[in-house]
Amino acid sequence: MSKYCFTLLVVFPCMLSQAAETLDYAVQVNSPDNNPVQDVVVYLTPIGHQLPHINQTAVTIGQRDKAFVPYISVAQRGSKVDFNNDDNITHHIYSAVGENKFSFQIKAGEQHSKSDFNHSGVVPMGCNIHDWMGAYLLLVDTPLFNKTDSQGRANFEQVSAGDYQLTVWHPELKTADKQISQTISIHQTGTHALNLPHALEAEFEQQNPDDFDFLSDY
Amino acid sequence: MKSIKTKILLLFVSLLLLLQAISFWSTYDSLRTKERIAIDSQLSKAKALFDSEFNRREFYLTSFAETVTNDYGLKSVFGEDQRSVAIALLNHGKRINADLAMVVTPSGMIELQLVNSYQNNQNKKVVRGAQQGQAFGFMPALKQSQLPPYYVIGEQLYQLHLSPLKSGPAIIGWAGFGYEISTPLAESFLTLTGLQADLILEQQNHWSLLGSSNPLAHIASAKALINPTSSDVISLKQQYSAAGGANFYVLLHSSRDNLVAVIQQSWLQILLITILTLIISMVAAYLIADDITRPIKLLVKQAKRLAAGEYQKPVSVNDKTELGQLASEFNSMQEKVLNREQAIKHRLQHDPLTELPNRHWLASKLQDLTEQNSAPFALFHLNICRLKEVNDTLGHTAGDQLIKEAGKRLTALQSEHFLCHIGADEFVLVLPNITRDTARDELNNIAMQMHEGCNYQDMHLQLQIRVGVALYPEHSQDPQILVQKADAALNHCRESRSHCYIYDPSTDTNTVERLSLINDLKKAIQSNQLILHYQPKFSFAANKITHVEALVRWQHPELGMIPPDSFIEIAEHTGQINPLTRWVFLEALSQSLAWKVQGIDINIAINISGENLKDESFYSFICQNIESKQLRAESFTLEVTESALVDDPETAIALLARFKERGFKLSIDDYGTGYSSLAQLKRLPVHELKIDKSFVQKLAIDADDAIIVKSTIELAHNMGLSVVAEGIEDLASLRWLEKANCNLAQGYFISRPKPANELYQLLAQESIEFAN
Repeated sequence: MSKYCFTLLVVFPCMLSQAAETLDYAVQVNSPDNNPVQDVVVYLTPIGHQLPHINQTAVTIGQRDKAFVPYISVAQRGSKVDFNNDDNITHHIYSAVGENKFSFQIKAGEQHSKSDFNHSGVVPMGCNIHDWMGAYLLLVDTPLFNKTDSQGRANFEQVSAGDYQLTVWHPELKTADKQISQTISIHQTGTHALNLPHALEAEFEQQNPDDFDFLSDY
Repeated sequence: MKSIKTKILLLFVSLLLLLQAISFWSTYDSLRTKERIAIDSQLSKAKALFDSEFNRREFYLTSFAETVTNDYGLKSVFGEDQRSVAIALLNHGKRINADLAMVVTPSGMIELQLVNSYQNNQNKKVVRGAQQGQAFGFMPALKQSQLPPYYVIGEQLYQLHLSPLKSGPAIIGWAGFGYEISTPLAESFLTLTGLQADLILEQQNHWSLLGSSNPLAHIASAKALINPTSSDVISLKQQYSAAGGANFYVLLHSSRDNLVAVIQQSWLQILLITILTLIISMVAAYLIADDITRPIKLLVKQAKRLAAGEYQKPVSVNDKTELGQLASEFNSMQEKVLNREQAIKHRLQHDPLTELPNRHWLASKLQDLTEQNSAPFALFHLNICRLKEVNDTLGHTAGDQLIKEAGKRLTALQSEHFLCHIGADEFVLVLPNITRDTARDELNNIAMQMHEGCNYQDMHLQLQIRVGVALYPEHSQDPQILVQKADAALNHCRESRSHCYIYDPSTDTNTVERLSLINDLKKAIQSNQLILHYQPKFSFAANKITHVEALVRWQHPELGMIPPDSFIEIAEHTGQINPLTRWVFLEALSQSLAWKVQGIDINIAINISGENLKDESFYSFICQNIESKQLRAESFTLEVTESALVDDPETAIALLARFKERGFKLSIDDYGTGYSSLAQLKRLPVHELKIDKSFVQKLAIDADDAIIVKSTIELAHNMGLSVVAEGIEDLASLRWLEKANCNLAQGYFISRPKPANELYQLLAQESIEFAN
């Protein structure tokens, strides 16, 4: 869509490396005013070819100080997700929307693992006890996914050369489906830089709006 | 007429009205203010009330929606089991009696819309809303939590709040509840504020009535209240925007009547009090004005009485104020006026010298007496004789003394009488019950009383009184005429030099005709009503007519021929004798000239009055005219009576001497009737004596008269005077006079007085023979 106009800058460091089977690739995400944006999910979906491996790295979503940590997680569907309750209170974690609905209680200090997130899509999670808690788990269909680091970079290793759908997702991104996508061709090591069309909205504050100090005793 | 009372009343009433108006105005103003404050306060309370009502409902809806959307049970079935969600929402909705429950999906579809429907039988029934399955039109506002609290479905308006349904941080939909804004709300406003409430919806200029506290209200009547034209309705309009550009109006209104009903009650009171005080004050003002003017009215009444000459009643004003003082001053004024009037009245009716009642008193006294038609009475008109002499010789003090003395003595008369002092030396004595017979006795009494002399500064003076008497009712029944008669009687006394005379009509010359003649005489002289007749005088010596006497005749246009005796006297008394004599003289001159032309030389005798002799220019007038006509004085004889010389003999004699010197013949007329003495006769510069006809008329039969005439002729002749006898009426007398050597004869026997033209023959005769 033409209104999502952004500068796409592809750098080819060496034309000779085209022959390599796998290569490292990076995507640099900047805000419209060219500042690096952290914790943005970036994933690459292959177009016209199959990826040989599955990234089944387990994801840990902790509950600490009555908040989900981290706020945004990303995993390939079917991966194991560990919920670690580091708090000294019980949480009732749920997601009430989509195909990956779930709900369970997790007592203080306990861990709950789930491996049944079989559908790709966004899983917004909350705690039925503590309304202010909230987090996102994005389930993707590709092993090539990452979150940007503090420099706004998402690094991908051993990427097979080919065409990819590059998707950038963030719950506070003000676009349809909270994401932007573009097709890129990866044939050599390089960094794909892109600027978000909008600044991110304020991140969801997992904070009790009220004075809840007395609850620290729980 | 504006009386003081009316003025005071007007002043009072207008002041009171002014005060009333001011007080009324201030009350009115304060009431208006009160009313405005009351209305303002009522409206502002109402506004606060419905603001709070809406806020409360909104808060209620918001809280409840949030509570509901946080319910995990709902979340867990949301998006999967629409039926369960519907039941859950319905359940929740019932708790707060909501009229609407709604769910919107993140994609902007109205997934669920449940509304209460009141069907014919008034049973509430939940039905699917009209918008279910349609797109929700206000997604951006909803996402930003800026959805207006008013939401339109068809022609229904709801107060609605949608809360986000979340899965953690993500919004998975919106759910909420709403209350319908309709009649029950309006009714609750009416209950709470006492104001009627109309709820109106406007969508793209389409108006509809959502509800009203008034069951009869309709959209037109409600709409009219949005911009009220009548001040009778107090309304408060509150406008709200509903989602989608619709407007929603809350109209709280009340007709002023109801609102100010209480105040109007006090209005009525005020009006009543105002009218009452006005009436009371007017009555009070009337009483006060009356109180002030009553003494004034009394004084006015009294002043009118005073003006009418009623002095007896004093004014009584029980008032210590200035008016009371005025009243007492009024009384003292009245007293003084009375005194003064009595003094004036006394002065008017009394003579200042003798303090006896005067002519005025007499007039009223006589009026009384005659009106009573009582017994006969006598009116004595008294006159002191020769008072003029006393005044001239001894001074007026002496005269006054004499008058006073006379008054005293008359007062002291024994008989019953009223005495008046009517003029200088004249008194009137009214004696009741006196008749002609007893009058004489009374006259004697008066004479007795006056007899004694009186002393003035050691001089002895004799009081002599002349009395003229008139009798009531014999001489007249009219008091005024009675006095005239007495006066005439007194005049007769004077003329006849007697002391008393009782009125006799035959001697009275003062008649009414006489009075009118006085005026006519003047005209007569000017307009030639007078003519001269001539009576011939026969000369014994010449045996023919040698003399004539010019006698004036008055041919009065109405009364006919008037005898000279009547008007000559009038002429003498009214100062007309001078012009009369001059006219006679001039006429005689003309006649003399005419005769001269005819060849008749005759002497004309003209009667001269005493008054003529007092006229200084008379002599020169006669002489000038004689000369201008070139006539001789010898042709004229001036006949003078003895009485003509009485007043001022010296001057008269001197004048007569001048006429004699000038050549006129002078004759003593009516000789023998006057009082002239022989000594005086001797002094008179006359040529002849004319013996009075009273002696001549009966000469032939009266021996005494014959003796008088004979001796008079002799006396005259001896004194060198010729003699004329007049009144000859028969031949015997003529023969007798011829024998007695009388010179001239005059009388009817010879000729009556005739106009000149009738006499020509007689006068021209050279010789006359008389026969019987």
